Amino acid sequence: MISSLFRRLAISLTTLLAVLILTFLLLHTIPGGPFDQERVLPPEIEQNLYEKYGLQRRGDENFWVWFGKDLKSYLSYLTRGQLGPSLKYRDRDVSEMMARAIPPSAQLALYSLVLATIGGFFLGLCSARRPNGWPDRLFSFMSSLSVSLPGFVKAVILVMIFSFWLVWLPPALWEGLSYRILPVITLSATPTAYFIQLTRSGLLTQLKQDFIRTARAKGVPERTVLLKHAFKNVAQPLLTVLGPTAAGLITGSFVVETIFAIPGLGRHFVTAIIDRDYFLVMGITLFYAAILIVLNWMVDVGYLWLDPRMRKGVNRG
Amino acid sequence: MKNKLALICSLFLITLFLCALFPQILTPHGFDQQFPQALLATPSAQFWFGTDELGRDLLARILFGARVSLGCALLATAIAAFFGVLYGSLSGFAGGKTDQFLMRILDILYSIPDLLFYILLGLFLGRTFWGMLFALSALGWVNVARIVRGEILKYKEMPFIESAEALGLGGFRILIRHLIPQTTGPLTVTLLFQIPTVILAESTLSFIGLGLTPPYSSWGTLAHEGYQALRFYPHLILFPSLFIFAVIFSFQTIGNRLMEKK
Amino acid sequence: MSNRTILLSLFGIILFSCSSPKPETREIRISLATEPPTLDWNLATDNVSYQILNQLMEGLTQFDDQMNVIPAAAKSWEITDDGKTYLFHLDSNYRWSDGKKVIAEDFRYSWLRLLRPETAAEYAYFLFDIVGARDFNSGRLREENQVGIEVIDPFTLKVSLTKPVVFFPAIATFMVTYPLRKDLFEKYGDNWTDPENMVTCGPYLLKEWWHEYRLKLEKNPLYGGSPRPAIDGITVFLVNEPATVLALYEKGELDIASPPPVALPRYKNHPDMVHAPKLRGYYYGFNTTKKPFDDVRIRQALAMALDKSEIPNILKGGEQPVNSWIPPGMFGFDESIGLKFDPEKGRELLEEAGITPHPNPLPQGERGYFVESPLPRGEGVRGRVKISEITLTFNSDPVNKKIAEWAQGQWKKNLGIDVRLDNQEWKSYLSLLRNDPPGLFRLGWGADYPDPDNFMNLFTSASGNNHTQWKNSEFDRLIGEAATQSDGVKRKGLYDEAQKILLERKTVILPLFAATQNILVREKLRPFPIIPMDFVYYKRVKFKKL
Repeated sequence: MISSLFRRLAISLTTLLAVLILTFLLLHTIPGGPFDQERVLPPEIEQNLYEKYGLQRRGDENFWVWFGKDLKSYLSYLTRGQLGPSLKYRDRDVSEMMARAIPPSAQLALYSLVLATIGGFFLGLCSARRPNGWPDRLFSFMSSLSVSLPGFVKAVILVMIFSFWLVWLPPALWEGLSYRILPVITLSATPTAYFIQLTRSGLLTQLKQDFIRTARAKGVPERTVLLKHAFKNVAQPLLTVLGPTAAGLITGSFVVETIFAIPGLGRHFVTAIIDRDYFLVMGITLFYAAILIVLNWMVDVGYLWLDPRMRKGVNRG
Repeated sequence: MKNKLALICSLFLITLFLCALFPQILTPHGFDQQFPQALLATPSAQFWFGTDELGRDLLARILFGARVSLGCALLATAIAAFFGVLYGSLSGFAGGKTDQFLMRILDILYSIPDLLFYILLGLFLGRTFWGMLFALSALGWVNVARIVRGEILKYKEMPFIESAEALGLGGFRILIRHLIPQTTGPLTVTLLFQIPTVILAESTLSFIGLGLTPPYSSWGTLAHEGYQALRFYPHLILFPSLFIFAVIFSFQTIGNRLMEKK
Repeated sequence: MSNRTILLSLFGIILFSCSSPKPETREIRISLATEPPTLDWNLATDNVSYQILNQLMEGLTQFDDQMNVIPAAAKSWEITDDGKTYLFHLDSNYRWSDGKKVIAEDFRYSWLRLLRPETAAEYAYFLFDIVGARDFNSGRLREENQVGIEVIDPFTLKVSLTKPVVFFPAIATFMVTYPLRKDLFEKYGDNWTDPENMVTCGPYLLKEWWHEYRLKLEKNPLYGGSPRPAIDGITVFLVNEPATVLALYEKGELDIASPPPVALPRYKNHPDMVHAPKLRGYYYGFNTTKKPFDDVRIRQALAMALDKSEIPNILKGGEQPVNSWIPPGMFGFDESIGLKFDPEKGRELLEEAGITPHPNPLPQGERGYFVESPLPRGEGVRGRVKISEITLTFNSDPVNKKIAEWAQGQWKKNLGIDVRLDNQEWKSYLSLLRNDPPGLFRLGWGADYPDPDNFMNLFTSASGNNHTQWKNSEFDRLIGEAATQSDGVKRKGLYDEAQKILLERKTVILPLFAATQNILVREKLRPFPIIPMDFVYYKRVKFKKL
């Protein structure tokens, strides 16, 4: 058990390293450097800037030599336990910037995930109880709508309805509790829709199975049938998609954070690429990759908990 | 009932394809023809869907946009299917160390956020249709490969494959003739769901400001152009969004139908 | 039961969100598009930082509402030695927020820090006219006493220039020249701009800086300049999305907002709308070394074929179409200079250049209509260049896109040529401009200081920002002479002559319009002291009790 854990850790670290190199490479292939701006700088000033951060200006040298030098400087920051300075925000550190941006994003993702799981499960349950009844049709239409509209369209429609017509909620910013509702709804719309569909189809197949029929024949109340017997079998596919969904929520928050002016990580992520803030992009990418790896672990542990039969398999492997 | 809906959806998609190929059927205006007298006109007999800020017919732009959006989605999906099946079946069929190694690579790609990939590749490849297409298809195959591999692993142990092996059929032949065909069911469904992903990813790119070079436009760019004007000229966002919704809805309905048939 | 709970909690939310009556305070809420990249004024380069720093700090001089340079921390200045030496006399009323007086040494320390190579300040070149500054910045000169910045006494600063630059007092308004306290910088290091450490001498103090979200500014009780601010506090939200800014304004969460271009027509007659010019020019430049733009007639033809009077209808922000380069509102502006709309002449010029229209125009609506032209065989370049291969390159932005699509339509209509459009993401575009400027490209230029030198210097041979690759010694001479010419009439004559070379005789750039500012301002803050630079002195904003 310990050795398999150790092995997994080693694999995760190699994955991280590969992600690091690949992303750094991609960043260097795109045109434009961190200090390019509308007003061209005198060469001596630009030289000072690159030197300050231990980076090189792409001269006539070979691409790989250039890339290697930059990678070396970045790795030297990492080995000192730092994520490096930001290249755009002149006196700030990547780690400090991320530490400030993670809480809002994490809150957003967590609320959305909880809302999507609980909401998706119960709405899916309602749908499965009477297939093709009106709740089923309504939810199925709503989920198609939310899956097939771009995030910014959903956001703007919600703002339109809740802030302008009903005047219930503020259109943006990140102040009190009421400011969190619209972004959370926007962000959770897509996963909720998936969870509804998953729960519904999972339940419908389960309900046709023999053990359910037996339970019903024994006179077990319908509610118990649905919740107790069927739930266990629906939980597994839900759990499978939970990992990628959570990751998607964290990375997918860019549009929501931009529209609702939330000081989160998703916004940084995109603007950092646009600004060619190499170190910030790297910091955030590594963070996301690490989160994904951890999430996958948690999903695996979840499987074990749900289905003891799998424990043997894992121990063997 | 379900059949009828799926039928309607298929008919809608076919009509849309035809109209995208021959937009003259529906509108006499060119997609980049400017009418300075009719800037931001609301829907009328002359312009069914109204006009945009430069006085261009929105219907014509949507139909031309369909070429880009649907073309991009279908081609990207085809590319994803090709590489995904190739990679996944090789990995699943080879098994052992090779399989493990190939799966490691997938894990790495899986750990990089999609958006990072899309943006960086989009910047690297440029703002043309092809650049965008490749950026969007660069990740789609990962998912396909996983599913195909899973299916292959499942069927590899089945009696009919074992008997084929006993009959002395070559490994490659078994893979092509017997294993890959088994994956078509789940594959079709995955691919049908891949199409919406591509359309939506493209719209996110437009939101970031990395959409196509004008005057060409996709539904994503059109919706984004309309987004800021929602409260003033709702037609600019309504029609592109409606088309995005209708297309994704259709593909999903057909996908679900196929899934249920299985 | 669950339904009722949901309803109840929804109701609670509604109550909660409605129950925030704002007490009548003299506080305003505004927004900026991005996080200020830095509040270290020596290092700052961008407008967002400027908009904040401008409230926190003051330099030797400032602008009045008519863009004249007036005293700030310097109560007066003397010019001697044929304009090459400036003596600034500091106002002893100016205090830092910790109570100490602002002295000449603070300026000297700041300016030397700006120039020091280790600081790596991007705008160090603003002081390059000072004796020894350039060499000090590149590291060739290590001795700071040889840089022409001297402290005569605590309240007198002497600046020696290499040439009599007439607009030097205007440079002293700019943020990179604000004074800096040596003791504080050495005490806090890189953290000196944190709200708890930051000591400033302007009308406002930094109270809170929640990165990427908001900044809070509060009136500085020790502020020694004038006027004293009427507004007690300013909260600056960082909102990137223009549509969101507008929504926040409409819901009363912001007091000032600039609406996105598409919303402008709806606010045209709105009482809150404030228009003002902005010293920012917008142009298409030609890379004069690239075919077919190496032929001046083709450049002129393209310039004459745009009916710029349509621009206001398209942009709707009150933009003023221009043919000349020095922007309206600035000394030296002359609207009679530049090529006028004349499609006939444009077609003639094209024909002269050997480009004949296609004999059989293709059916209407058909794309790919182009003319092929044998270009003049100069300097060993032979062969035919397809006019259709003209590409207009610009960076992605709604306004740039709209203007490019409009220009494309105009050239097609008036000259019968197809121009391809290529939009690039900002940094990719900058890298392209630097390494291989496209034949036809878009750029803008905003005033750093309101002097024509700032605009005209751009196209001199030595300018790093001259992407046209055009070099003209006559033009360079005129600009150099004008920078040191103190007689207004003669100076304007020099700039007129230079503009005629730039725009008419050589047509190196094609100016399109002068930008404007369109902002929504609540009634309590009007009349709003807006100036044509891209910032506002909030200390001058009056606060009306309604």
